[in-house]
Amino acid sequence: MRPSVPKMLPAGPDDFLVQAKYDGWNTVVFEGHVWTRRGNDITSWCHDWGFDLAPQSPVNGELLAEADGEPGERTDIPGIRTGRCLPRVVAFDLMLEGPPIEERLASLLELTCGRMEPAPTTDPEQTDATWKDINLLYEEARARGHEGLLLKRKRSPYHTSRETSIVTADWLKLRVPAQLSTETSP
Amino acid sequence: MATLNRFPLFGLWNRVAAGKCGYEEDETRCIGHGVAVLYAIRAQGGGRKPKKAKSGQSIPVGESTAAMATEDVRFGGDDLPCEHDEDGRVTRCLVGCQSPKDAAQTPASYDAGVEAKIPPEILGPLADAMEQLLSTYKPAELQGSLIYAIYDDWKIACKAGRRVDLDKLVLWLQDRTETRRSAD
Repeated sequence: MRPSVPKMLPAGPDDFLVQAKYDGWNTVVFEGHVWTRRGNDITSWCHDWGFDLAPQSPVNGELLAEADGEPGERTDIPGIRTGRCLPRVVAFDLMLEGPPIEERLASLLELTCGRMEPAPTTDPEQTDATWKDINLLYEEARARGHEGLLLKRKRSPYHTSRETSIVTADWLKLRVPAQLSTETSP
Repeated sequence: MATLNRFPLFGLWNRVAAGKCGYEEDETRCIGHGVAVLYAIRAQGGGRKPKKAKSGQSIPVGESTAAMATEDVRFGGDDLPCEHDEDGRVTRCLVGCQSPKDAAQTPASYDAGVEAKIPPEILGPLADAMEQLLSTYKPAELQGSLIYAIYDDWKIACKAGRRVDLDKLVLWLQDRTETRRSAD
């Protein structure tokens, strides 16, 4: 038996790209369909998606409801279904095995249009970021009501594996803690 | 003085709130019962969240989805595992279910487990008073934990021991509605 040795975080976050993490429904847009993360085809749930449903590569993004012309904090399925509000997809990656994230995000920029837009992401060329900078982004995410931040290792491929240890080595989620209720009994 | 325990009142409250959020009649009954069950489980388990329902085998993207997996519906700040029909309507909630065969929250279970517990003579005025108050809020405002915060207010203001005074509750709802309308 060997003693456990903890891994240190790097001194600076230069190895990572940072994306805003929205609190909607994780969806895939491809071949004329909108799928949920669990494989449900929800294309027929909306009559006006407002973006290309058949991009060249599968787009992975967060389905949100539009609010004041911008992607809202979260989704509103009955609102989207009934046309009370418009859908917005904040696309955060292409589901392509092989190319590194920098290439995938560059391709993603070309594919997004209409009510699908790329997730705000830090500049891949930036090399002087500090953990304090990440903390500022985290506080901004909290103030906007986002779910948190996603840190993606630079040059990392897209993982379709469900093997958590492989995925978490390249993608780290910093989640804004949910507000705790002091009263839970109805 | 007519009193009632909080479970059916909380279920009715969430059913009415779901209607204000745009859910259709049958959906509101699934959600109303689902949220009430969620909080009952939390109360029994010391505040722990119940395990989510097993959603069955994952269905690869691109294949037919004859057997729908659950999707989480965010309501009142909570995520409810729900099944949907092909048009996106909630057909049942699976709060606290360990397998798809467990008793789920459906329109029928709502009728039997929530509304049947409320005295029929008070059900109409109570639902109407709840509807009037929730109509003073925009649907977007009701997406978060506000529903629970208002519930918490009336639960305390109208409590009769561990139960709720129903007459006082109707008056409280009407009074709060007037206050909000006059403030606009």
